[in-house]
Amino acid sequence: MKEKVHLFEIGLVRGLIGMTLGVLIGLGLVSGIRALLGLPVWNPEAAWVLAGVFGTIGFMLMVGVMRDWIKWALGEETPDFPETDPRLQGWAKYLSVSYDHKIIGIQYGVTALIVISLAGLFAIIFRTELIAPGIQFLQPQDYNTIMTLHGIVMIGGMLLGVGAMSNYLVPLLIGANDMAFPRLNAFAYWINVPAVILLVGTLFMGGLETGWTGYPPLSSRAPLGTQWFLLGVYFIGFSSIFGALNIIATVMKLRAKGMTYFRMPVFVWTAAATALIALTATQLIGLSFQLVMFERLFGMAFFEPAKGGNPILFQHLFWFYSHPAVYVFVLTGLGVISELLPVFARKPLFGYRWVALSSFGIALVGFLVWAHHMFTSGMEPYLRVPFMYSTLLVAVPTGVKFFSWVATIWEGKLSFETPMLFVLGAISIFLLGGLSGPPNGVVATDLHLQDTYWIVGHFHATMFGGFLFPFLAAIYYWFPKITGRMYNETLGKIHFYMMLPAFYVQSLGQMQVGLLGMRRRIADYDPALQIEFSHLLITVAAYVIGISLIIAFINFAYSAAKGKVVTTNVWRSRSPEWALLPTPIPAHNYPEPIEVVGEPYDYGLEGAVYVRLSSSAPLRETSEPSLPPDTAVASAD
Amino acid sequence: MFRNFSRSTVRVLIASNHALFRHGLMSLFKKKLGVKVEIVAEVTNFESAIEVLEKHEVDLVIVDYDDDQLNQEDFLRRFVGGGGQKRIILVSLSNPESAMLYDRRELPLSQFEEWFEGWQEASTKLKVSSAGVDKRNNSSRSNRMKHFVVAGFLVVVLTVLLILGAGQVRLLPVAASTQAQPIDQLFRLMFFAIAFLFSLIVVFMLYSIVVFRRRKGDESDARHIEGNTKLEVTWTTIPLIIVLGLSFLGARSLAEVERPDPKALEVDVIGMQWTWRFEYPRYGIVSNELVLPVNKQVVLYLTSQDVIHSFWVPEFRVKQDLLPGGEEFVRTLRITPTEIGSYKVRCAELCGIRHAYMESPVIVVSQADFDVWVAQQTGESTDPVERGRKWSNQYGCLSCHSLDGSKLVGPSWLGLFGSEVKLADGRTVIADEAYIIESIRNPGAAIVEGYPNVMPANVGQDLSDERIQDIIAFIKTLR
Amino acid sequence: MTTQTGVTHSYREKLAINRLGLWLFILSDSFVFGGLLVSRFYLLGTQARPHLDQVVGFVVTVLLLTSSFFMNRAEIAMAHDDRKAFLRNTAITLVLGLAFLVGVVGVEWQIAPFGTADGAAASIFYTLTGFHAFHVLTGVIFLAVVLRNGARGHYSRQKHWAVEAAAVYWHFVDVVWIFFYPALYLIGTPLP
Repeated sequence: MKEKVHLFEIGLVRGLIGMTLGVLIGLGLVSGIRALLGLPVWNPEAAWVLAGVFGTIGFMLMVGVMRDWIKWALGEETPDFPETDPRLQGWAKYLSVSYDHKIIGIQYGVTALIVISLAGLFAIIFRTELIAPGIQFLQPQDYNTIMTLHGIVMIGGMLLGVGAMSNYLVPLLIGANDMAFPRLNAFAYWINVPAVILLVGTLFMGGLETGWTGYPPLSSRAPLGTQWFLLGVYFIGFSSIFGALNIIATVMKLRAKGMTYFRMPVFVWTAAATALIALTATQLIGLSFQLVMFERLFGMAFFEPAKGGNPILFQHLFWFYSHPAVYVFVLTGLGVISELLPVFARKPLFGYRWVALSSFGIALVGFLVWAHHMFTSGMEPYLRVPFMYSTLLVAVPTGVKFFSWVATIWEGKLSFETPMLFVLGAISIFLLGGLSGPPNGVVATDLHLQDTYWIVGHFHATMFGGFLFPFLAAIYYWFPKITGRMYNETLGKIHFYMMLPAFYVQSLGQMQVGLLGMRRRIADYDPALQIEFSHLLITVAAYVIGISLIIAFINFAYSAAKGKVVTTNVWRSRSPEWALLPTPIPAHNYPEPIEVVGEPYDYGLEGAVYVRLSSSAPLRETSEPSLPPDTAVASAD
Repeated sequence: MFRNFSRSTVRVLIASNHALFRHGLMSLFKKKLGVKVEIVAEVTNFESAIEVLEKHEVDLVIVDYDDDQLNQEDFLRRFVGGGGQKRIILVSLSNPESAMLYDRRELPLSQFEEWFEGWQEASTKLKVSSAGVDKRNNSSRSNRMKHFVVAGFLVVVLTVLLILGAGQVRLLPVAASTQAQPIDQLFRLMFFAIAFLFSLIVVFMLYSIVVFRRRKGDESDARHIEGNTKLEVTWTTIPLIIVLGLSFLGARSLAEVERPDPKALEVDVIGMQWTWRFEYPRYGIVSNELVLPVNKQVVLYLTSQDVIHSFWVPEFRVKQDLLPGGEEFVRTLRITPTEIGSYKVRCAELCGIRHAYMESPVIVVSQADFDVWVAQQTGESTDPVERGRKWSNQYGCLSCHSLDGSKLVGPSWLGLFGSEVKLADGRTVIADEAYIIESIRNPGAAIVEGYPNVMPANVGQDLSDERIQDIIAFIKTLR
Repeated sequence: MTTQTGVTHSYREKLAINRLGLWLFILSDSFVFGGLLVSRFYLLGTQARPHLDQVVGFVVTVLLLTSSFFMNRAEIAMAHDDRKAFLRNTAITLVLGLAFLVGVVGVEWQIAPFGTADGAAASIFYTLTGFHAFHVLTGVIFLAVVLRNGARGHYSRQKHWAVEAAAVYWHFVDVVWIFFYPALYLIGTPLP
């Protein structure tokens, strides 16, 4: 019997109300205090910053994610594992707070797709403007805002996607019933919502003109929208940090019996390496952005040379995070590639230990290369050569992955369902992205390439190859496990065969126009460069990519509701979530502890078992397990 | 219900206390279905069921859901997963319209068939795959070598094709400086390497995709190869050596690119939102065009008056950011132009609204022509209007104020002098000399309605009063 | 951790997981303070520092270090189930922490010869002490919660995770000041 859930019981609705109230309180508080102090009442910078802060706090309080922590502060007990209101079903459940990592994973995933689409829409808008020289319809100030938002919103979308994959998969892959800190998990998801609202809100606050990198002095003087941009990024950072904390604790403490580190599915290695970076480096973008906010709010002078500051300090602080950040974006995707290839090639992952360790190799070296973004910045010249060496060094662990992937499929028995297509496409695109890296890493050639479209081509290729294609592969692959239904294979293939060539056109086009002299972040380019045709191609490619994604979304939505029911191990994977769990997965995953008795990727080894339920061990005495009475039917949605 | 099972025998275990239930099911199987069903056993309690399952291969276990002598939870837990292909359905006499699967999902009978068939297919596949590797051994040593050789050859082919293809496309602008030489050399080297490495991986991938496909109906796994330490060490060490070598070459090229000529021509480059100014201290010239003599090194001293800009002429290759902050933050860039011609410097660091348009001409001329230009520049015009036009260009006024009435960032100068101007604060003033002087020295004091307050306060810091008078004279002529 | 499946965690296991979580949090937080220290030395070098009152600086430092001593005593009291001593020492820690805040925000900030808009050294001073003071404030709030719940008998020798967490956090904030104090007051000569 389903009780009707009132609109105001849905978390998202309450959160938005809370955010509105918080914004109003913030505005009122600042104006009130200023009036009391005898200052001119309306200071838009201070008022809107505090409004953004209170708005976010208001959202988080009202959405309900802080409930148990407040109880603990008041000395009240809470159940060991927090349960969600059973009246919330379907939409209401996903729009409210849940502590189940699978629900949270889906929340992350769907939000990621929405946010990525929004960022993509921004790109389509300004790509249309770039079809020809001259201003078609988008004035430079609006162009700068839309271009900036495309960058930062897409970054938010990628972090959400990484969160989706890590949070959904890690507990399942290590045989745990949930993450180490379920309430923190919910918090880390929900704070993204007000953060993205702040980012989009900049559109209505005069925009911003700095690019997502927000360099001062420009960012200290840019329009008011800059404040909500800085604040929004700050809160997205909270999500990264807390999410990462949870992953590390989970991987270190909740692995099943027999699952040594080198018997974990390789995806867990990449999730852990990603988490290590996100936990630590993210603080630096928070710090650098906060210092710019203080410059704007309090007249502070960190980056103003006239007052003793140094603009290069910002760049050091900023890039110390933002370079490792790119490995946060791609490492989990590379983990998906390593995880899926053995299944579709029916062959072990080649050199599993080397692949696992290479993730940490990339993470560690990734901390040592940030100043390659600053070769032309005017920093101390003697820093450039050491950073060139460290930058090129990243190619070594990355190369290990590439060679291992090829060696895995070599002499395999490949089948080409949609997930495999996206994985293979990802490899080739990430290869293109990676190979376009050394010209940037070598200082002399970077003098030509810095701030051009070559860089744009380089990072789009690495992002599409390291994040987007693997993320799509993961969605297709785990779709039947998550939803209990199969996606449409034909639409999946159409999606792939549209997206792959279109992306190549886009990427190679961007690299070419960059080499020829096209700078980044410009609404209008000189016809003398003769790059009009390339831009037309790039824009068409962008549209094709967009359409292919729409096809994918239709596929996902329709199949989740009406697709063919599947409950079996459709990919014949050895991984525990496929081998040991029914579909859809019950609320707390494994009904009893699982045991690891073999290696994860022993395809082709006769009789090899990887994981099993503890009680299905032959000739073993089973103790009476304590079970609750048979609860409600595990719902498929 | 069991349409496709004529090929295999389904071995069934029925667990129920009720004789009626057991008999009913048996006759259902035998009579109605024409499926080869082997009733392995009928049991009435849990322990016997376990016994049977441990001793015999059973495909399907049917459990009487109503039977409270059977502890379903215990029973089901034992047989979830573990690689077993058994399927368990719970059937209830009190609820004859549906069957419950072991994962406790209810399916109506119409969907049950679908589920059952799907399971049957999958468990057939599972059976075959757990039998291990395909015994047909077509991967002998010589076969493997053959694959490598063919793939290797194709790598070379694709590399060559890529390099030839890249040669057909415009990639780099013409190289017009000595600094461009080592840089372009590095580019060429890296493009070859990129073509080769791309081919290496992609060819092996495509080869696998074509040759190492799964044959239709083959459900066995591939060869169990876990790794090869020697190979790992090789493909770690060789790239390491390559990147160290490339870094070394890069460092050497950088030194070459930055080699200073003590006799270089000195030019101060002042960047500001959104224009360039070039000052030649040796000659006392201020210009908004960068004129350079060919084959002579120029050392540019770069500084910004506001935010970070960047100096870049693509044909010269090198670029350097301009930082605000005066002396301490001046940076140098050395260029030796080698081709006479007209180029453009375009700002390469996002600097605000008109970043896209922050460009100035860069003109490389012969030494003789350069000397002529210098003479022209240093001789100052006697006409204040002409001088005023020059200052308007050089001090960046015209990057925001048009001369033809069009609206850029600030008000157009056409028809400005002597006109009535409505200000943002409500006042109406006449645009006379005092007004213009105030607009330059203290821009924020009288903002015109409808225009943003973005004129930098320091834009006129290098403008002497005499030069401002020249500008006023120039503005007066714009009717 | 959960009783609805076969996997349960003992209190000891949960404690170990919580401890790991706390240390990971502290690891992350240290990067903020590290970044601030880097900024201080990047802008001012090792030869200069802001012009500050040494007496006030010394006093607040003593207050904070002493508070850590009393926090430790509170932890020891809890380990011996001495509730009275635990409450007393926690309260003293809290009061000293508040005194520190008064000393920094109430005194030092007011008597400083510069405002927030007066250049790089001033900005460094206000930001470093401000970030640190914010952490002291959250620590004080945490202690207040622990004090209140402790007074109601929620903690015992076997189960007092909140006390342990508050103490570790408090010590961390103290350690940060051990780096900030020399960076602001001792290294380099004061700028005019």
